[in-house]
Amino acid sequence: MSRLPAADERTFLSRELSVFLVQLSIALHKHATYPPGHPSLVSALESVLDRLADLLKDREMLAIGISRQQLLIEGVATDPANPVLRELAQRLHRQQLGALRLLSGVEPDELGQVLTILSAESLTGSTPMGLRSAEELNRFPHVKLVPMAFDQLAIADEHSPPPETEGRGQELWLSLAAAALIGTGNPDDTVDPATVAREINRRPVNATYDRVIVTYLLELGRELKSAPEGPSAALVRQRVAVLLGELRPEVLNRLLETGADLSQRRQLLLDTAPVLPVRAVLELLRAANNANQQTISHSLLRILGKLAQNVEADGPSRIRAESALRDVVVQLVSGWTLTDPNPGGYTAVLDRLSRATGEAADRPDEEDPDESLRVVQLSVEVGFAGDSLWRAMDQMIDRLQTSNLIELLDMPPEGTAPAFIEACWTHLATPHCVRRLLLHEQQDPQGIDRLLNRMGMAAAEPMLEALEVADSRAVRRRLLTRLSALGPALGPLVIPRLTSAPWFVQRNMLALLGTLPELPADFSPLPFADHTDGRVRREAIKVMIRNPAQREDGIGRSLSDDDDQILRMGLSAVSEACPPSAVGRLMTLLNDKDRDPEVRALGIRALTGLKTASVKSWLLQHALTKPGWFRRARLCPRSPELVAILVVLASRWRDDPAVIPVLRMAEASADPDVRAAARGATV
Amino acid sequence: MSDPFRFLTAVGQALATATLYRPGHPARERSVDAAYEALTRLLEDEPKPRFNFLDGDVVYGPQVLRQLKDWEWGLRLSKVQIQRLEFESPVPRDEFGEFMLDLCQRLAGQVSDTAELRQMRESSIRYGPIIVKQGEEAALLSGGAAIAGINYALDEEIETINWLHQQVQTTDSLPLLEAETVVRSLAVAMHSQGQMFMPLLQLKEFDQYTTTHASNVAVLAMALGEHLKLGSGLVRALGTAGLMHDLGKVKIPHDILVKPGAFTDAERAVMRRHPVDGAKLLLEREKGMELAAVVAYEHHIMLNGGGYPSMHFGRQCHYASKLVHVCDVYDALCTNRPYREAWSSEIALSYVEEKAGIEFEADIVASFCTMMRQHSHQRVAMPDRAAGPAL
Repeated sequence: MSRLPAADERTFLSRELSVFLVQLSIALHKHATYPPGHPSLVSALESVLDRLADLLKDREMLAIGISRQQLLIEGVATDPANPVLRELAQRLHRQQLGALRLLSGVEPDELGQVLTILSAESLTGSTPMGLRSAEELNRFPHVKLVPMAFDQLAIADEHSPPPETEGRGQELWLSLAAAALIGTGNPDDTVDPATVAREINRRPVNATYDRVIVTYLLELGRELKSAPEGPSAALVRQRVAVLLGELRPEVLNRLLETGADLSQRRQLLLDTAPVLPVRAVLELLRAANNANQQTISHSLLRILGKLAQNVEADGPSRIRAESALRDVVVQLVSGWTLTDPNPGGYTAVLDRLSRATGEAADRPDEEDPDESLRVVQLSVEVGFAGDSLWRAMDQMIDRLQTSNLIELLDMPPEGTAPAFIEACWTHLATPHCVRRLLLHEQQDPQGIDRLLNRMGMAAAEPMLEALEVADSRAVRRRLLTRLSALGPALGPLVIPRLTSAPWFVQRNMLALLGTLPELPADFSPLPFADHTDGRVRREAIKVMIRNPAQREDGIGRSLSDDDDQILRMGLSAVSEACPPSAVGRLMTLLNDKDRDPEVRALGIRALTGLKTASVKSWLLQHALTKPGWFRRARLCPRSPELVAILVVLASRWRDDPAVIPVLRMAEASADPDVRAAARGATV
Repeated sequence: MSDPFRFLTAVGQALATATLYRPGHPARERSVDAAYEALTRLLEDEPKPRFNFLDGDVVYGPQVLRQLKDWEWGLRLSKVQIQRLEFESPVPRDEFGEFMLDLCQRLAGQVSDTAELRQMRESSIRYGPIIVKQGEEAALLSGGAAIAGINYALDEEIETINWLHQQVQTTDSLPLLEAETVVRSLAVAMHSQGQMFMPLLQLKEFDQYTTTHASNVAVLAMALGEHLKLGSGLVRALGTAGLMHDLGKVKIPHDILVKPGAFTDAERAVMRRHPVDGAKLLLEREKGMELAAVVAYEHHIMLNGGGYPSMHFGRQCHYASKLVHVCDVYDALCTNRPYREAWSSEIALSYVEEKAGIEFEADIVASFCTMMRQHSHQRVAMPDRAAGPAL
């Protein structure tokens, strides 16, 4: 809800009124605090009655409008910063009252009852006064409690028709009229807009009065915009139109200048432009424009005036003219909030308001994907870099046409300024674009490579971001390939991403580090080799195994790890070169019959690099069955382990006398894999 | 040899020479000098000689020149819509040179370049098509169909278009809202009769050309858009594009724009920059003028790739550009030029139809001609401001 204009330095609430309101506030507070019959209540009541009697000497009635923070009395709003009056307004507002009218002849008992009722907070469970029956509201002969029909000020005139039949717009109109005519003592005329206009024209300059009038106009604007079409709404529209037409131009200018700020003027026009008669809309536009100290071009005003004439002539093109006029005013006014109102900036406002129109949406360039390409082509050909080009480029990026875009930039017309092409690349080579392309790499596979090649290290951050969250192995692999191509310079960018990151980020970053030709000097994968998640450990240990200084440690850790993949990775490393410290662990692993035969076979093949007697003995022992009393030792049944043993024996001890019989037995085997292994072939 | 015969023979020789030599070549200049000398002699006897080329006959004043029966150049000139040729003494040599150059270009099939339809002084040479009405030969000297009554003057729109051009020239800014409002108002005017009609402006003074042409092209483009049943937003966008299609001309130095004689190569190059300049001006807008920029850039490009500017990236012109191109040329042909009267609507339509599939998109031409013939009786030449009735 908008705040009512407060009294300013030029217009004060009279001292009598101020004192009365303060006394009323005190009395209400005391009624809320003390029990019935308390002496303090009597004195408070007397104070209020005394002040009221003074005020009603030259008035028949004292009307107090109520809003959330302020009271409106005789066209003057109270200062919302005044704590006593604000509290009074809040208290009455909580009772959901729109107004309080005190008539001449009010009795102490009557006012006492009113104060008692009003002091009872709705928090206690009682129904707010504003929501109670008309009978209850009207039970006091000299105090009228007017329910809040809307959340703005509404001092309903007692002659006004009931809200059920006339609606809120009518009430607002009557309230405006009442505020405008306040002090004239002629409520019968309040429905006549010409009378209201005459009174406003007649009034001397009074900022508070102006603000009150404009506040009602704003409310009326809102109401007219949202009210359903009907006789009542039409009547109010007509009245407002007559009022605006009857106001002298300088008075309307003054009202909008002193009674509203820029955003209120804008809102008033936005609300009324679609509904008020076009002439009234133009009157408002002129006045608001003057108030804004802006200059709508004379040409535009002339055409608008002509359109208005066309509407009023009611010819065949009336609807078109009306629609054009209202649309143009809305377009114009929409821009008013977007920049400071100064003549120099007016062009900029017009520039911007063109963007605010919904009309652009049905233009072909907004909808047809080819149009973005056309705009880019055109911009490159004429060498113009600006918002239209950036928008078109963004649309192409969004539509995954980056490779087309890059082609254009790679083949500019002869004589194109290098700075122009560079500006285009700067716009294109952004993390957003890289991310977009990485997400949809399949649709534009060439685009990403060309972009990354162009960007070099500048693409590292967005790629790292993408890698962090890549849950597809294929995507990770592609990213790792591209990132690792950036070389050791990438290392320092990766390290900070490891700390306190989720496991998958750590896994991906370690995997990336593992692909770099050299690790950053200050980095150690050791802390991650003990990670609870096997996927992180695997990458950390892989990095260790690749690093000569940590290889032995890494192999030892891998051979001890419960994770099968880590173990296999260690065995694979051992098969290339087995450090002495790993032999014991390896043999333990080989003797573990519960191990997966494939894993054991892998371990056996790792023994190829160890040509020792103990290894030979172990291999022979596991190649043959134990001899019995009447049986010679025979080859063990075919298994992955046996095949691996035969391969190792054939490759390392083929001519060893102890091995030869074993290989012969194998060569005589009916199993082709066994025979092949005996020949030293890897099966 | 009679003077008219001598003169036309010299013209024929000059035209034949022009097919062999480039402009400015001494041989070519000599042949033009010879033709000019023959004209000078002719003017001594007859200060306002008038030739008609009709059905193989060459008519000089009321007399058929029998020696020139089926004269080749007469037939060829007639075919390129030069059926009447009028001179008024004195004829300056440079003006005659431009005339000869224009004849050569027309005979070579080069289309009228609407960009060069600029402000000029009155010419002493007039030429163009003629039509025969109800058996009576009548020179076609009006800008189109009959001038109908109008109840919607366009003073405000014209004033605003002028103002827009001034704004662009002096502040480099483009007041888009005013431009769009002009388009909206023109659309209102188009429907102020209860059914669509085209409030086309007739050029009264040559310095009004830029303004009237912009308004006419906007109206024609919107009318064609409506005829093609395009949506209202798109029709308005076409109107804006039509209004702005020559915006780049504000960047052309005034002395070139109003130069009465033929352009030098350098001046022609400047003139031909206006599509690029117009596109740039429109692209500088923050949003919503991309289509107008595209049209400004492409409206001199022909279907067969001719015209200008040459596009570095191969592509078809935008449909809106093709549409505005037709409207642009049609309006230019129907506009008075210093050296010839405006063509009639029908002759201009015939020309456009002839160029369909070569310079213009055939479908658009077909729709355009259908529309213009359907609505030609409603086509209105606007009175000038002083005479124009108020709304």
